[in-house]
Order: sequence, then C-alpha cells, then structure tokens
Amino acid sequence: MAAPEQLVLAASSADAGVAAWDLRTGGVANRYHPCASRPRAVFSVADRFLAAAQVATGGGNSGLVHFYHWGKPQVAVKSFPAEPIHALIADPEGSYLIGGGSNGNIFLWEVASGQLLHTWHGHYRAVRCFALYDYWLVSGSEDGSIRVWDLITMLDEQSRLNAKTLYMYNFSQHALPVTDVACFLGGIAVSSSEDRTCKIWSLPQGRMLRSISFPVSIDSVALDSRGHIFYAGGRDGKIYVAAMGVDGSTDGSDDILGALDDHSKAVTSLASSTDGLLLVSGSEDGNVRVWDTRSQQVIRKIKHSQGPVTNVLIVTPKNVNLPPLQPLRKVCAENVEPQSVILPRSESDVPTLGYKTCAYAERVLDAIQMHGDSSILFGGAGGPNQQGTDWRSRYLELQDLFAGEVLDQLPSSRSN
Amino acid sequence: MAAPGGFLAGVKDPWLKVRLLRAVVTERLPQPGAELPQAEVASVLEAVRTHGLLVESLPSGSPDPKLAEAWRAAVDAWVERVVELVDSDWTYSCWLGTLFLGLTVQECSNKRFAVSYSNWFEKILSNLQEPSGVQLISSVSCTSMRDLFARLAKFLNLKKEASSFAGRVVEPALRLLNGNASVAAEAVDLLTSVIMLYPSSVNRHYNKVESAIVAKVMSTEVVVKSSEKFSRALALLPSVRVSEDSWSLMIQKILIMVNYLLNDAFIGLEEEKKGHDIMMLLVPAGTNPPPTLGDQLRPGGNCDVDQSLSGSGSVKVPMRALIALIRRVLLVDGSLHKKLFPSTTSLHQELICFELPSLHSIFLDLLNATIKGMRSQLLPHAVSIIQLITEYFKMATFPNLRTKIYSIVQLLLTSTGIGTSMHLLQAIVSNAVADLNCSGANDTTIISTNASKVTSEPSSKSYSKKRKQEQQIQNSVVLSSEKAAISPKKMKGSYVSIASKEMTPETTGDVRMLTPLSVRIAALETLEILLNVGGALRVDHWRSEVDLLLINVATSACDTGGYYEQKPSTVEEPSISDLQLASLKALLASFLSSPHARPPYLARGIELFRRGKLEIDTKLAEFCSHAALALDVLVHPRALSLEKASPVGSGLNYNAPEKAVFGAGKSPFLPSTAMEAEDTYDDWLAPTKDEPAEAPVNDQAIGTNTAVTMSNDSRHLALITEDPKNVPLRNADAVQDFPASTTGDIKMEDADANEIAKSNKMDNPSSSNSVLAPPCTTKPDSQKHLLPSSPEQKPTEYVSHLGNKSPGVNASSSKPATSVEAPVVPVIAASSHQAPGVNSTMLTELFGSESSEDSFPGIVDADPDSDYSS
Repeated sequence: MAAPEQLVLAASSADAGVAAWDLRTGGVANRYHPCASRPRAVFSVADRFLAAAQVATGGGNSGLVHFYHWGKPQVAVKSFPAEPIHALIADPEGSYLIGGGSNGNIFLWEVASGQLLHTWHGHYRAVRCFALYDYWLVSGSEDGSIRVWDLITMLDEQSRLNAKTLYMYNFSQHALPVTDVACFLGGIAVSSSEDRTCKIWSLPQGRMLRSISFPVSIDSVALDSRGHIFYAGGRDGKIYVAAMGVDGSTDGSDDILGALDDHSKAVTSLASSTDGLLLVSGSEDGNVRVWDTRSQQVIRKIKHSQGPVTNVLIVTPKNVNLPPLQPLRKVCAENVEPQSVILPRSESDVPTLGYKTCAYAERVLDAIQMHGDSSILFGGAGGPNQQGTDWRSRYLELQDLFAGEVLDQLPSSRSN
Repeated sequence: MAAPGGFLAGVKDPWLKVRLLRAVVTERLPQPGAELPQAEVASVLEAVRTHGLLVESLPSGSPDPKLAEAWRAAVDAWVERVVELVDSDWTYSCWLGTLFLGLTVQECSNKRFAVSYSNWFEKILSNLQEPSGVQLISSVSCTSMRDLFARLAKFLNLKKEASSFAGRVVEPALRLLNGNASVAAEAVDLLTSVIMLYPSSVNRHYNKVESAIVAKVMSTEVVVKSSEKFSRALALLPSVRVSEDSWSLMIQKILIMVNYLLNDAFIGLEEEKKGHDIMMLLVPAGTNPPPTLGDQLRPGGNCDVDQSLSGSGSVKVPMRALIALIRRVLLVDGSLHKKLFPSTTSLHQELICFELPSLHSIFLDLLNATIKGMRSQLLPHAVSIIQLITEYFKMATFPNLRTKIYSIVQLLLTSTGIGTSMHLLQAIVSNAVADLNCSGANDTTIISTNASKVTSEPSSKSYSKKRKQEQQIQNSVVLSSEKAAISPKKMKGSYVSIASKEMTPETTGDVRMLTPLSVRIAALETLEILLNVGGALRVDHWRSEVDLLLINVATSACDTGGYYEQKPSTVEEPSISDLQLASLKALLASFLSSPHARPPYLARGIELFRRGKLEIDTKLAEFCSHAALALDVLVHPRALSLEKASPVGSGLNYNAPEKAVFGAGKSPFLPSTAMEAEDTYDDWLAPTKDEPAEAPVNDQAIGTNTAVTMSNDSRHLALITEDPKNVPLRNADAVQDFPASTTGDIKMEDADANEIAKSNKMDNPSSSNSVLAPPCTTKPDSQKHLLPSSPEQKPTEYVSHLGNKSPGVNASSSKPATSVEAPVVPVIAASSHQAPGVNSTMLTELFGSESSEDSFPGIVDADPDSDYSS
C-alpha cells in the first residue's frame, strides 16, 4: 500500500485508464481501468477513493461515473447520472460529490448513501469546471459565465424559495467558455478561459479584482500553494507563470512572469504539490511532466498514452475502512432523509486509559479532612471497626509523635 | 556507585530508592489493624510516585546485581505488606491496602505485574464481592480494579485472560451500581473502562448493563455531574455489540424516550402535535418501534447522544428528528400555548419554568455535540440549525445560555465557513452589538440602567437597530472628543451636564442585570471568528459598525480594567482582564480582515497593543506582541495587492475608502449633503477660538434654553471635527432621535457619554487637564441649579429618581480616578469629571426636543446643518 507517499494520477479522454505514479520516484504504482474522462472530471474524494466521470459513449443520454478503490485496478462502482457529467468535485471531507452536467445542470450527491440531494439548472450550457471555497461552490461553464452557489441555501427548499436568485453571484466577464477555476485562502478565485484571459475574483466581495491577458487560450490553472503566483496552461503548450499580486509601481504589463515550455500541445491540466515545490502538468501530447518550480526545469517526463492527457492530480491515498460505496442515484428521492453517516476518523488501537487511584486517594483524603473524622466514612461496619470512633482521638494523640518518629528515623535508616 | 551502606551519589542514585522504600515499608506502612493518619497516607503516595520506588528499573549500562536484588526484596516486602493490609478484617487497613495495591498496579515493573496481576485481581475482586461491603472499600476497589485493567490493557499477550477477568467484574460492578449511590460513580467508571477495553466480555450482560445505567441516569438522586458519567457509559455501550446498527438503535431509543418525557413535561406549553411529529420522523410508518429504553424518567440529563455522536464507527443518525427535538425544547419559553390544556396547572408551569434554563442548557450542549459530531454531514440541515439559532437568540436571556449559544455559533462558523457566516451575519452582529454596547458604562462603575434593557430584550430588531444608531452617535462623539475637549463651548456643555447627569434615573438594583462579562467575552469571540471567516463579506454596512464597536469596546476595556491581571489557571468567573484579552483579539481580527488598506482605527488599535505589550509576562502581553507581528504586514505591506491601485483606495488617508463606500450610496442613512461637513469645519472651529475662557460663565447657564444651545453647539463641533463619514449618520440619527426620545434613550445616552469620557481620558489627557479642572469645583452648584429645570421635562420620572441617583454618580466620578495609574492621577481626575459633562449634552438635547420648539431657533441661527433638526 502506498499510504504515506504521494501519487501522480493521470487520465486521458481516450480510453487509457488512470495511471498512478509515485511522485518522488516516478515508479508506476497502479493503473485503473477503464477510464476515459474529460478535463476536470476526475476527482479524488477526500483521498479515500477516486471518482471519474466518463465521456459519453454514444448510446443513451445518461452519464457514467466510475469509482475506484486505491488498491484495486478495476471499477468498484458504476453510477448512471441523468446526464453526462463534465465536471466533478467533492468536499474536503468527502461527504458530498458534485457533478456538472452537459446540459448545465448541477448534481449534488451524498457520498455515503448515493442519494441525489439536489439538482438544479446552473448554466445555459455545459458545466466545465468547479471549485469549492468552504461551502461555496464556484462553477464555470461553456457559456462563459461563472456562478457562485451557497450550498447551504441550495440544500434547503425554503431558503431556495426565499432567495431572489439561486446563485449568489453571476460573473459574466469571460467572453468564451470558462475552462478552469481554482480557489485560494480568503476567497480568492482564479479562472481561466478560452478568451485568452485569466481573471482573479474575490468571492466574499463578489467582484472581479483584475483580469490578465495571455497570448493564447488558457485551458487550465493551478495556484501555487504559497499563493503568490499561479500557473496557466496555454493551448500553445506553454505553462505561463503569472503573478497574483500587482506591483503598484508598474502598469501591469509584467503580470506574466515567465513560461515553462516543454509540452508540444495544449496543457490541459495542472496540479501543484502541497509544498509548492513541484508542479505536475498534463498535455494533449499524451505526456505528464513534473516540474521543479524553483529551477523551472522538467524533472520527470512520463508518457501516459497516445491520447491526450486530460487530468493530472496529486493525491495521498488514505486507506480507511470505508462503508461500501453506493452508486449515485439518478433522481432525487422524495422525502428521504439524508442519512448523516458519521465516518470513522482514524483507527486507534488499544485505547489507553489514565490511572485514577491517586486522584481517588486525594479526593477521599480531602473528604476525610473535611469531615474531620474518618469514622464517619468508615463507620457502620462490623467487627473490629467498632473501634473506629476512637481513631480520631488516637490520631490526634499519635500524629505528632508518629510523624516525628518517622522523620527522625528516615535519615538514620540510610546508614543501615 | 555508592556502596549499599555508605553515602549516596546523589538524588539520582538508585540506592536511594531502595533505602526509601525499605524505610517506608518498615516505618510508615502500618500493620493490619494499626492506623495511618491521612497526611501520612498522602505522603507515602507522594513518595512512592515521585521517587518511583516500585519501578525496579536499573540504570542501563552498569547493572548492579546487588542493587537489583535489594530492590526486588524491598518491593517484595512492600507488596507483602500491602496484601496483608488488603486481607485484613479491619476496614481501614483493607481500604488502605487496596489503595496501595492500586498504586502498585500502576507503578510496578512489567515483569512483576505480569507475574502477580491475577493474584491481585482476585484480592480486589473478593473485596468487590463482599455482600455487605463498606462504601469506601467498594469504591477504592473499583478504582484499583479499573487501574488494573488499564495496566492490563497494555499487555497484548494477556488479552484473553484479561477479557475473562473483565467478564467476572461486570456482575459485581452492576450490583454496586444498583446499590449504593455513593459508590455508583466509581462503579460506572470501572464499567466504562471495561466496556472500552474489553467490549466482548460485556456483551452477554448488555441488557442488564443498559437498564442499570438508564435507571441511574433517570433517577433523581444523581447529581448532574455524575449523571454525565452515566450518560457517557451508556453512549459507549453500543460498542459492545459488533453490529453498527446498535449505535443508531441506541440513539433512536434515547430520542424516543426523551420525546415521551417531553410530551408529559410540556403539556399545554406547546402545540399538541409536536411530539407526534417527531415520533413520525423517528419511527417511519410501517416499521416497528424499537423496545423502549427504560421506564421511570425525568427531563434532564439527556446529553447521552453527545458521546455516541463523537464515537467511532460509522453511525447513522436520525438528524431531522434530533434537530426537531432540540428545536422543540429550545423554543419552549414557558408561556402557555393558546389551546390551554385542562390538565395544565400553574404549579406544573412553574415547575417547568424552573427547570427550563437547565433543560435549555443541556439541549444546547446536545446541539453543540451534534454539530461537532456531524461535521460536514451537517450541511443539509445547516439551514434549520441556523434558523433555530436565530430564533433562540431572541429568547436567550440567561447569561449562561447566551454564552452557550454564542459558542455554538462559533463552532458552526468555524466548521462550515463563509456560507454560514453569511446566513448568520445579521443575527450575530445585532446580538453582539446589543450585548457589547453597554460595556463601557458598566466598567466604569456608572451602573446605567440601559444594561438591563440589553439583557431583557437583546435581540428585538427595532431595539438593536436603535442601538446601532446610537453606537454611531457614540462613535462620532468619541472621535471628536479630542478636539471638542479644547473648545470652550464644549466646556459649557459639560457644565450643564454635570448637573443634568444627576437627573438620569439610576437604581442600584440594576447591578445584577448588567450584561455579564462572560456573555460579552463570548460575543467578542464570536465577532472575532465571524471576522476571520467572513470578514470580507460585503453585506450592508456591518463592517464599519463592527469595527467601530470593537475599537470602542477594546478602548474601554483597556482603560477601565487598569492593569491586566494574570489569573491562576483555575477555572473561575471571567474577569475584566479576560474581557481585555478577548476585545484585543477581536480588534486584531477586525484589522486583519479589513477590506481597506489601512483600517480606520488602526492607530488607536496599535496604541492599545503597544500598551498591552508592556504588561510583561501575561497572556495579554503575549497576545499583543503577536498582534504587533501580525499587523506589521498590514502596516508595511510586503505582498502585492491583488488589484491595481485605484485613486480611491490610496491608503494614505484612511477616510478615503470609507468615503468611497458611503459615496456609493449604500448607506441607508446617507443624506444628500453628506460631505458638507468638511467645508464647515473651519467655520465652526474659528469662532470657538475666540472665546477661550468662558468656562466660569457657564455656572449661570442653567436654563433649558441655554443648555440646549450650548450642548448643540458643542455637539456640532464634535461632528465637524471628526471623521467625515460619520457626519451624515450622526445627523440622520439626530433627526430620528428627537421625536423618539424616551427615558430609555436618556439612559442609553448616559452610557454612551461615559464612553466618551473614557476616550477623552485616553486621547487627550493633557489638554483636557487644565481646562477641565474648574468643573470639579462648580459641580455641586450646577447640580442644584439644574434640579428645578428637570420637572419641566419629565416631572414625575426625574424627580422620583433623584433620591437614589446621586450616590451612584458620586461613585462614578470618583472611581475612574482611582483606577488609573498613579502618575496621571490629576489629569484623569479632571477628565473624569467630564463624563457627566458630555452626558448632559445628550440629555439637554433631549430636553430640547421634548420641551418645546422654542429652544431650537437658537440653534438654527448658529447651525448650517440645522435643516436636519428642525
């Protein structure tokens, strides 16, 4: 089991499965079959299992989502949502799975039960990408709009009815399809679009902070874990490095700090490691590259398949005892209570208990002290304890003598 | 190494332990039947533990067979004596022996434990099985037995034996549990440990254990504290059964039981159907209700679910029913429901009302535990919880309940983040403002009556709205106070005010009703978390209001609290020092989450942190240096802004961003002439310079008319000199306040004025010193003079309050002086007298509005802004 190590996962839109490599060594760790996914349609659910929405396979208009366990190469559970799913995301605890459909519908499933908690029409055209900030969902669509949804509101019928619009914000500054979106601390979101711009948003304030122009369409973004720069994967195969902040002294022309140039085709997917030192990129040329962000050099080049790589992820698989995975339901069930299953957090072995004798002794001795007479506590017993009532007086007589003796004798016992 | 008989190498020398142990056994441990005073018992325990006399671990490297042998012999002697004691017929000896055996179990070497544990187990067990056991022996046996199992659990190879032992313990423990109440606590402790460590051995006793514990939980003789222990045991019980359903079943059973209880208890106090509805949620039609848990029950002590929620294993929780149940309890306010039940008696209602606070408290704990246990699973139910909290805020009047509801809000905010903060923003801000607003007055010992208002109707919408406005009034005056203090006209106002201060009704009886520190601290903590989580949310104008509130609360807390006192770690009632710390923490959050490059009150905040830093070796100083570090980034930005610099937010002038915000027309109070104030600034300041020493004249300025004029003048000065953004608000408020003035308003004004006094003290002590000194002397005069004027306004009320009021004021004016550090005493003494001064500004302003319009023309002449007030 590759429990502590980080894996690089890559999936293709051609049916090449999901390949997993060790991030440090580059050794093949596993390969999950079959899988053919669009960009942003593969997600690691709280690092407990892998969910991948499949590209529509002609027959029928329902979608297909595969679940894979880390340890097993084959599909664990297949689900058939109402429409093909183009984008997938799960909350950090892995309680909910959110899918964006080809018709612009958004589906919210409860992972534990597979129940479809709610579905709503989010966009006019297909949903392309998601990001989560706390329980705010940011969705980007083919129609160029970005919408922010408050999941708390979306999950309650009354609140939905009370709300003027279902979404909290609707950003329509992008002129062409939104390709990717990522969130950072403080509700900062970065979106990329085919309109050759990336835009930075403040979600709490509900407005665009600024827009950065690129020479080509941008297919993917990844934030550096330290938050000062972000990477934008261009259709020309370059990964542009752009500054998040703007230097007041200049006119903003140097927003783009540089570019990592090694892919021959569009960079479709980017993932930044948690320490900010590595960047993983997947391209339509079928390759996955691992970059050292400091030297800006490729440190590993991995061939995935002939087909284009659409998703790269960095995951740290957690092997916990999961309740059996449930397939995602197609329709909202009427009046079914969300199941609210508490998942085990971590398996602790033998519980260790503290000792209590001393605390107990202190308590009892204190009580005796307070009563001033131990016979109250010990009284009522038969046999020799009848004498108990005499003890207190005897104590008082003997205490000084006794304690004095002990103290006197202690040093003398040393020399024995 | 030292020789066995010679001198020791030091305190580390293992021979010391051997010798000490020998001494303890021969000279301290009594023979069976003999006695040992309590002090001795404690010292033996202490000696054995501190020196590790029973550890038998030789220093590695140089094994000394002689030492090992001697030590072994000494421990043997100890064990032998202890066992003798346990076997003794004498109660005291037996108790002592069992106690020491417990100590041995815990301290002795692994090898010795492995050899003798079964022997010891039998000894303790025979104690437990004694049918007519003395209480103390039973309880000490339970404790020692518990420790034996705790130690045994660390020997994985002995697991089989251990669980068979555990099985044998259950019966006697149950017997004790059912028997004597005083042993029950230890018995249930033992039981809990056994359940935790060896669940399988309890399995066949499952039903018996369940009914025994339930009986205990429900019996009335158990105190709440130990009833929590029982609840915990009950919550652990399902782990005995392998099936995961047993947890859900347990929760379901408990909920049904509690629901039944409530049906009886709340009869007539709520809608009939509620209990039934919850039942329907719990037991869907068509399924059989699970067997009931117990029979004789009482409402209270129902915190069982907490533990199981946070327990391990995947548990299905009937959340809707749980929340419905919590809601059911929390929304009962003791008033009779419309449809009066024939069976409801006033006695019954009285009883329920008596129990209600503790019941609410328990259910708040339950809600807290639920949120904690459910984590992200809570999401579908978040709205119902948010609604419940909002509603409950309106009902919660008891301080401990308010504190609890605040802590629940904090939990919810941290767990679900920005979404919740958006939903709860309104409720939090209005409640926190209501709770915190009076704080200034309370601390300076002017016990203002408005505090009772806050507690009694803390969340009524209109009320808190009014408070908000006043907060802004207060702010404007606070900001202006520095300059206003120099102005002679201000002085006139202050003269009159000293007198009119006496008019404010004050009753000492209100002391109890102040918003307690604990609530204010909880409110501050909640605001801090709200700012952390959703500080950037742009909804209405909550930020400016909260920022202002926080700087004022922090200022007043730091001023009135005097030196920060580090408390001993023991839990006790929070003190003003805790308030200081909490207010500074919230202030830092307000700065760091500010949407502006330079938060408006940064300078004052930095000053507070700087001062706090001087309280060396306290938590406050620790936090203040942390704050300084955190603010450093704000003061000297190293990170680049995410936005291109716009002309508005230059950051140099802190007014600018605020102005921009207000200019955007978002403020509901914004009048069209908002920015005129800046132009009038000079006009207004100029005339005041011409009349420098008018103070003494004010002695005669007693008549209502003059008073109003003066006070209004000084008030406008105040307006002008301050941050422009507040001007429009201030004026708008003034307009609103005039018609609406009531006694309640006066009281509140009083509190606000006090706040002003404090800020004066801080902002401009030196300048106010010289000018302000005279008022002290004239105070008694003006007091007398104003008395007759009051009946004009409100004959009945004011007069009636005169009697009990003056003592309070005297105290108020003298106390601030004493509470501040010595070197500045004269300054503060002077400035503290200004408090009543500003007070009257408010009061007379109200008089003016109430008495007649005649008083206004005077103002209109002088005041370009008078369009508002007339």
